[in-house]
Amino acid sequence: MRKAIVILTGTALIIGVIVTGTYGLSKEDLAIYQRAVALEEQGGNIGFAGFALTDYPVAFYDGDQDYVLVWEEDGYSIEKRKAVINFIAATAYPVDDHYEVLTPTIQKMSSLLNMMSMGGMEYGEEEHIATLWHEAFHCYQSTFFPDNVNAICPAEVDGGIIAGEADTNPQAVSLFRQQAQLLEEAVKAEDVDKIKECIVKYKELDEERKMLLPGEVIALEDYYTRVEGTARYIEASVYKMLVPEQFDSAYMDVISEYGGGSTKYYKVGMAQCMILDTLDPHWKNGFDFSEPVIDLIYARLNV
Amino acid sequence: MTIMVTALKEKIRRKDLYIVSAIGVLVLLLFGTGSGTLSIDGVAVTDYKVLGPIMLTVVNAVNCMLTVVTSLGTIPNEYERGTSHLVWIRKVPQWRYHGELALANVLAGLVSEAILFAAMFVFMLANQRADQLWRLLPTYLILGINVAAVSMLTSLLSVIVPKFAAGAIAAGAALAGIFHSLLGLLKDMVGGFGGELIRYALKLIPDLHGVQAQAGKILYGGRAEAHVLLTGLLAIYVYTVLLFIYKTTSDRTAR
Repeated sequence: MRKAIVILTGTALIIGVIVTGTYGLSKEDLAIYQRAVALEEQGGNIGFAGFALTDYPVAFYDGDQDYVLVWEEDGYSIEKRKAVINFIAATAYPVDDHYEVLTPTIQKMSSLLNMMSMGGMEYGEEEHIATLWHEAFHCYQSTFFPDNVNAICPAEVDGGIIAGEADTNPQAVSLFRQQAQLLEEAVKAEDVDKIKECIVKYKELDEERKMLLPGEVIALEDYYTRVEGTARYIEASVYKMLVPEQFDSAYMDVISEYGGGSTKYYKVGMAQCMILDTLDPHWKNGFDFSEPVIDLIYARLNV
Repeated sequence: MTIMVTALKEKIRRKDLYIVSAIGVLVLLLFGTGSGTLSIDGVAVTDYKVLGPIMLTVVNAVNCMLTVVTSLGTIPNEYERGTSHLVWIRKVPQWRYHGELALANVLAGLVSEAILFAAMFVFMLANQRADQLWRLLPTYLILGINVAAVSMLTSLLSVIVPKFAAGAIAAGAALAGIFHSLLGLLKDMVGGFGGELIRYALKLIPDLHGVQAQAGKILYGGRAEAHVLLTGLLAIYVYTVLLFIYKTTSDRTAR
């Protein structure tokens, strides 16, 4: 009798744990994917020819498994698989013969960012949707323009040289701050003359700054600005569609904020794309990453 | 139940339970009544919704560690004093003997939790939450799952391995349980062999943080996730069954 009670209690608990557990992809993550896909019909590709989020599978990592969502003609399919990378990272990653967007679930991502910022950073569905688009754009870059992207800088260059060289040279830092400020002014400018005035000064400072840093640092900066900057531009454009009222504070007003590491290049790269939008809204159609975005601006302004 | 009652009485007579509880209460009252200042990024935290979960975290952490301390020596001390021998000759089954002593440990942990909850009571009154005081009861019961889990694990270990090792393992497991979600994130960040190691370790460690989070939800009028609570209860069940199953020799020397 006693043994029966013990066994029944254990069985009941195990069944209870199984029945109440959440298995599979959460409703929140599914909603994020559906909202991200829905933006495609509203112009989410922002004009880059051949770019579509739905061309790339999106894998949500829940800490144990990947839930891979693939868009098909009549909707999406979900497949569970062993995680391709067993850690938290939002990235474009080669899987078999194609690229996929790998992202943590919203629950994982928000808890990580919340912990890292000591509760000071809010990361919600809209931010996650923008991240999916950012990474999907990297899939697009790697799928269609791998040679041009790889040619920007050698793959073996260590990202640490930014912190070691660019961030520790006071003159280079000062010049970069001024350049970023000029780009922010140009992005917010209402007429082309003002943009040109900013870009002329920007070019002078850029030439001066390039004399201060080793070639490999300049190449890596160009890589971040061109590859990550355009991806941030996509991310920002999507965020603007989702939360227009918070767009300025989240993206526009922080262009000139200087920080150590590579993020500052994402911001100036995005700003360059936005300036080009004002000068030539069709610049993206045919853009193949073979030249810096800033050169396109110089060409449009005859600077 | 005579063994359990005797063991519990002895615990209540001891001063260490009250000293550690009193320190915990003091810390909680300092933060909870505004006498002390807790600040994040240089900004004083005074908001009830922010301070409450922090207090609950402190209650949980202090109580779990206190439970390890109070549960650790109960069974080994009985063997050391030879009391166990007197019990064996009266034909009391070992599972019952260990079980009652472990139950006394759990009850002592619940007593210290009740003492710590007195500070929560004062904290809520100080924050004009008298109408929500009733929520302290379900919150107390949910956090009691952690007390019982830690206590049973400590009792089990104290029977199997020497006291020092049992204390170290139980304290480590309790700490890991308190930081369960943090370790989960760490696992995802490090990846590789280290990540796999943490992944498997987390499966063996009770999610004390998860249970505490559910207690927090109840305290703030939300709904607790049954899955987390049932997993906590399952851990208690497993430790209890293992304690019943494990047989030690009757002439066992003190560990």
